[in-house]
Amino acid sequence: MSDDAGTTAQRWRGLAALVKDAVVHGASAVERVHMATAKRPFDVLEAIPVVDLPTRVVHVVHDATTTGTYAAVRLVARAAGAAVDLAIVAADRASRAP
Amino acid sequence: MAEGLETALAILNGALGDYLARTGNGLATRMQCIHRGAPLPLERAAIARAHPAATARVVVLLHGLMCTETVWRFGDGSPDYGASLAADLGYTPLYVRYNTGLPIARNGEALSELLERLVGSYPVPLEELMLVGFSMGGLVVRSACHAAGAAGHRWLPLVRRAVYVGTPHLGSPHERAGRFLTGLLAAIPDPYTRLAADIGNLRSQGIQDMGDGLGHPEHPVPMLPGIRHYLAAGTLSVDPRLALLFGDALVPVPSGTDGHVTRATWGALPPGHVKIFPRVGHMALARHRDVYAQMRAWCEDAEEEAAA
Repeated sequence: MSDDAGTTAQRWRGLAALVKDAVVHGASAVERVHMATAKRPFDVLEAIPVVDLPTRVVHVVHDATTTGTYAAVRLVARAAGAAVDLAIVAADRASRAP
Repeated sequence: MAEGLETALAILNGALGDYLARTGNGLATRMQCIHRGAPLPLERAAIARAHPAATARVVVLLHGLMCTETVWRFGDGSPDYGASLAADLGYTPLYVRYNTGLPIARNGEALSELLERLVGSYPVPLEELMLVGFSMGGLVVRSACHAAGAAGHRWLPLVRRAVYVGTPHLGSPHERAGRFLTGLLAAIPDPYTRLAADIGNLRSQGIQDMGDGLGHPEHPVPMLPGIRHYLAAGTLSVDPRLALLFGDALVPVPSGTDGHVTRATWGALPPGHVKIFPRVGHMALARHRDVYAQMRAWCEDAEEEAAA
């Protein structure tokens, strides 16, 4: 019973960790694509003398906002992952208690 | 634990098993013997309980990529290769489950360690080990024999026969095509194609190792002398040219026969040690009456040779 319960808890923790990793790495991958895609029109506009200065400002604001948003997604995923992990450990201990 | 869950975990381990193991994830499968769906500890009492009539001859069966030991099971519920070898020739069958996403060499080392523990804990003195590997399992068997030779393990001299069923000894063209495609996508200066390449490159090292099989020139793993090696390959078509090209749908005939059908000479193996099964697909090789009949014949031939 305890071995089975231990294996089950380990697997639940593993699943939670895998989902967390997928969100964290997935967010980073999408962020790279987002930044690279957004860079294309910014590069074009920044090459035009009339609009280059405001475009640079918008570009910096865009990159900062984007980086912050994806960082927040990663942070929330890590926090949620840690919370779920703690909950599984606590539930496993409770199930083993005499 | 439900069989469907174990199958899902086997697929996950095959796809990402090296990552799971590297990150200490609880979903990573560790190499172990399985008896009736449950782990079999390699302890004398546990083996004796699982196999009260354990014999001195043991057959060890290894599944392939993204599989579990259920791959050997016949659809109609008739005895699988291990159970049939037990009934017909007195072998005690042991089924090994492992993380197929790990590098083949690492699984080979793990199998070598596992068999060494088996020799020390088996309830009766072991006289013979027979190794049967399906698909990737065959590559793990070859790798384990080399690891045992390097480590001086006791089990290696006990191996008389090794049977490779649908094993891509010279690699799989599907993985090589995947490698080419991900390389091509990564080379295109576009964020979307690079993302696709990154996703493709998530595939496990175990899968990537299947591209070259054990034919990598920098890491040669020849079949060890002193062991009778038997190769079973399938073909979907009876047309010789189509059969040679497509093989069993996953493993081409030259790879499944370790190149023996395309060589002018048969090299290290006698022709009788290589058998091609027409109209038998890759997965069917692990549970086919003709394959078992050949496997039994190989065992009996070797027995007769030994007796002579």
